[in-house]
Amino acid sequence: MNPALESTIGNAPVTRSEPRRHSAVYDWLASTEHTAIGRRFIATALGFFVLGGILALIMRLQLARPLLHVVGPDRYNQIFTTHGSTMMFLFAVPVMQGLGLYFVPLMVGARNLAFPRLANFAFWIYLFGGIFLYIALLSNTGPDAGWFAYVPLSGPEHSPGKRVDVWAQLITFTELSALSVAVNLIVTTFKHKAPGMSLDRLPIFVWGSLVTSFMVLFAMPAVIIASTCLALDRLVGTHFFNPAEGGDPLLWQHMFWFFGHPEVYIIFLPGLGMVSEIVVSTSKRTLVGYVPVVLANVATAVLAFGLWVHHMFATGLPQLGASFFTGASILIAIPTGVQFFCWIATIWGSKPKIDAQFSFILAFFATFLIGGLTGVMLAAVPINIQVHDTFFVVAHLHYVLIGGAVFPLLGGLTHWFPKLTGRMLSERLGFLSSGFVFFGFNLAFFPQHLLGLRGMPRRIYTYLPETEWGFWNLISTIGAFLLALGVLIFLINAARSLHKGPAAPANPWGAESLEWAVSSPPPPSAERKILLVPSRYPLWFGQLGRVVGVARDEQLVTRVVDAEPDHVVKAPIPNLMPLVTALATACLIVACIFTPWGLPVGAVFVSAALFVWFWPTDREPALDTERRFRDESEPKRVAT
Amino acid sequence: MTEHGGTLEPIVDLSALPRHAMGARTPLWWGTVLLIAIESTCFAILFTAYLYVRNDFQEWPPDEHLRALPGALSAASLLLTIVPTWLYRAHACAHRFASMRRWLVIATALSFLAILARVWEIHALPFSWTGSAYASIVWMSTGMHTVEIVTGAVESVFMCVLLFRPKMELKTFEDVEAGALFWFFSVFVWLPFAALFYLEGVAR
Repeated sequence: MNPALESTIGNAPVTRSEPRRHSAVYDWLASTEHTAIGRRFIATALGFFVLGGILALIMRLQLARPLLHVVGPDRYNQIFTTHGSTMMFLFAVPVMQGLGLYFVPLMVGARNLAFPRLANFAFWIYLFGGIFLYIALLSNTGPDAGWFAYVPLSGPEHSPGKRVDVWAQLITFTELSALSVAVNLIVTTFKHKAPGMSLDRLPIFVWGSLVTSFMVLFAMPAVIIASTCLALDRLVGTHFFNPAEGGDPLLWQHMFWFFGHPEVYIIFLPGLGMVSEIVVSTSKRTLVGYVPVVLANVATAVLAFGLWVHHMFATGLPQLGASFFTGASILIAIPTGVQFFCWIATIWGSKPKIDAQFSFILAFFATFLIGGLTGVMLAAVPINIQVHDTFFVVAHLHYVLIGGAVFPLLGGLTHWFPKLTGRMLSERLGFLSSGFVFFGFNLAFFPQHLLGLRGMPRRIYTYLPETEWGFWNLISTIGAFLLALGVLIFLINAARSLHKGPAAPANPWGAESLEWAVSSPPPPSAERKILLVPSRYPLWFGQLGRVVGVARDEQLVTRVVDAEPDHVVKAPIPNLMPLVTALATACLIVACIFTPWGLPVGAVFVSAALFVWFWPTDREPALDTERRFRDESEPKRVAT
Repeated sequence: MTEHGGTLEPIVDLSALPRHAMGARTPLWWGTVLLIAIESTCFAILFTAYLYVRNDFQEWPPDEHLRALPGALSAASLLLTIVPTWLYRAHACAHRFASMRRWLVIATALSFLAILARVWEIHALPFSWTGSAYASIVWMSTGMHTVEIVTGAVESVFMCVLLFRPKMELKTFEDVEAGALFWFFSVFVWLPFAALFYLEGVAR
């Protein structure tokens, strides 16, 4: 900073008034605490997980026997579409991001997120999107063209009405939220690490979250553009996907799967990060192959963008293209395999404590492995075409997503429950839950491989007795209910422990990472000490230090790679503008379903809200602009 | 960094650290760059969609030919804004308030001129978006980019308002720099589209 500027700043008084006091409701709505926003994301996502699960149970009831009529075909279409959309957009991505919002700042030693008000906005826009979808479903306007909304089925000719538009705008809601969180997590990890937390000391969960956030940046735009094109085709008569006017339905598939395939890794890479954390803390050993595991995460992210076309083998690709995408799809098993071997090597000979959280990780090992292996099978064009659009694919994707994301998530929630709530979960109920979830899951989904191989297509609401699919469907339905029972026991365990569970110490597992250095639950960000990180496993090796000279309402900014202290910024003051902006944005998005004028009119309100949001609070160091202007404009006078 | 002795716990006093920085040192700069990454991906996908759809046509472009003059003028007026934007960004980085404000006002005025040129460009498009897939993509790309530059121009107006208040927070220098970065992106992302549309869409 130049000396002239310093002197000018010195002459301009900085307002240092105490923030105004507000009601508890205001504070709740405006909260910028990453722990509060993270908890809301997690709780809301689990709520949508339950709703999506109920829809799944309705489908399983409908398919339990041939020719049942629990629901009709039209309702069934809405249910499977809403189930898929819920699980992908309203549960899997937000719950992982919610855990990131909660734990990334704690694990890197930051007081708060880089942009906490943006995180608050992200929560509200996500919540409004979810509510919007379920209002539509309950009013018989639920989307019904599948979670990937293939054209021409989802186009204006074959899907009149507003159902598909609801799906397209759900995408806008959730992607806006996901992108906001991704930017937040990347910048927090890059710029707000505690001194000493260099990139090569980041916990693996933080690496998973970082890599995933970058994937979100480059994957989500594809589905945003695709769904916007679809909405325009439906609303104003453009022809992006209309072959009669030169449009191309396959363009939709390319754009969708350019997002959709990385989405799978976006969902399970944070899960793999949780596996690493739990494996290390229960084995009480440093991770074997920290660098290979980090590189495996990065390699998975890069490769994930190069194999979307394996979802399109049945569309008739040039042979060279099919071979390339087969190769790429098989290749991605390698980095995942590297992680598997690193975990096994870490556990090997370590006498890990087999507790409830670890039981979920054991369930993950078996299940995800099967999902990975059927993935390798599906990468081969002949098998892929044979089982395309059958229950084999349904089984595969559930093995990958429930095995790769939900099992680690349940393990991760068990692991972090003491930190999140200050209470310990019941181990007994935890084991019971993991048992039911694992057994129920395999009973529900393994038979679907067999059904698929026997030709049962996806998305049919019933079937004839002559198909002989009834037995395995019944078994699958029984398994689904056992799985649901396991989830119910998990939720009961959580609710019970929240009220009656024993108080949790700061570090109940004797774990190594920084989130265990603060009390359970963590104190508000302003009261948190900024630590000096001595090693990659700071609670195991080296002496933790602390930083002084950073005020309660300030955040330390450090350098990206070596985390050396750089400068200090003010933490933003919480206000209602993120909520107001989210409301204005929600009105804009919903209005655009009905009229293109929703965009310009809505934009005026969103802009007005943003103006108020960004209006200066005058609590930062400031300069006297009139004096500065005079000084700089009249250099001669200053010289004399 | 100062080490205090006396206890086993290492303590570092950071009270002397600056309370303000510029460029890649700041979280805002990173946030802006990531936003640009997101939007670049959006435009890249549209660009690819144009090339993909082109494969399906025997004759290209399938609709009436574009008029060169409005497109060229629109692109040129956008490019013109780069000069004052470059200058106000440089002055912001050097904390030269008066020069920064002067060039920001000029850049804002020029950005509205560019928007006017864009309105003419859109008005001169010889087809509706309902004409063909080609027409749809041209309209959508142009429309999306127009939203981009209108957003950038409105943001510049907001910055100008902040700079005419009697007091300016130091971090506004960061905001101004971020605004400039975003505007650079908004201008340069259009050039491949202008080249694509007008080099092959204009009658020879």
